[in-house]
Amino acid sequence: MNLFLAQATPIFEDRLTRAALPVIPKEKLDRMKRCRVAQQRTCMALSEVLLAWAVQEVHGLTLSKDHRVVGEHGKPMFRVDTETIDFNISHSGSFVLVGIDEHPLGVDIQQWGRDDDRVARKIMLPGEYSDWVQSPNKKVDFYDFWTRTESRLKWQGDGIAGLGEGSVLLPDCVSVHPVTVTQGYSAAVCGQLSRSLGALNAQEIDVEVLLALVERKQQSQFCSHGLS
Amino acid sequence: MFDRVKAIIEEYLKRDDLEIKPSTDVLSDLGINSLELVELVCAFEMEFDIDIPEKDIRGFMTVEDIVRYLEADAA
Repeated sequence: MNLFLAQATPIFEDRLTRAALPVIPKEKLDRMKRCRVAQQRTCMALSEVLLAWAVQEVHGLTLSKDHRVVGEHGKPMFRVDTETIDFNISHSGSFVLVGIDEHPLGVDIQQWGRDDDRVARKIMLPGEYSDWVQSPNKKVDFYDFWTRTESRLKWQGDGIAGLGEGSVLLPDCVSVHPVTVTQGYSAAVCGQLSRSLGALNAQEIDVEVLLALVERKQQSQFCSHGLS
Repeated sequence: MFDRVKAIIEEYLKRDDLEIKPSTDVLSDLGINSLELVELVCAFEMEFDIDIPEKDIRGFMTVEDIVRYLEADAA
């Protein structure tokens, strides 16, 4: 499993959108165009650019829109020849977290905000809620809890639809781990990992470096196609 | 009902510059994520003094879905 983290503000929106065009599915591009929040559009574009770059880095594969297929539970994945690559994306605030693996996975990142008691009651089981109200660090614990829950739901492929169904027993080979990210954010990953692992690290990529690499590659592909 | 729902969304997002219509997609168009949707649902619960089961949240795709749900609950 490989985890990648990047940060972008709306000043990068145009470049990221251009860089994402070869790989972003039409439905997502349509959603992105409809979205009224610049930061959200920026993160949607960044997630596609980061994901394509990550697959190139880890698997040496250049992705196109045609490589994206729908797997179990409607989860998208990549199929390149005989190779299948599972991935999952999350963004919050100005950060994007991308995970890729040979097995299904779920990732979640969340910027800290309010730790609302009513929301906690809704997303936690009674025992979990009792523990949380006694926590000396309720805000961080709230967001740590949420990202663990959401990463598990995303691993299952249920998304928010699975909320409130309690803690589903994960197979022995699957576990949830915190991901170390920037102060002010919580993140977690659920996937085929050893339960003895602690917090995982994501490789942080500078968005300007990422864009420079991707734009150079796209430019060279354009030139080679133009010459052929 | 639509105006009340719109006002709650604007108050939650702390923005009044977003064009909110019945067809507005809550997640994609307004740029909110799953946790923020749960928080928004809690805001509706408080405003309308109702309890919205977690399983019903999946049906809240558009503003119109929310309006219809709340209207049905009030009926």
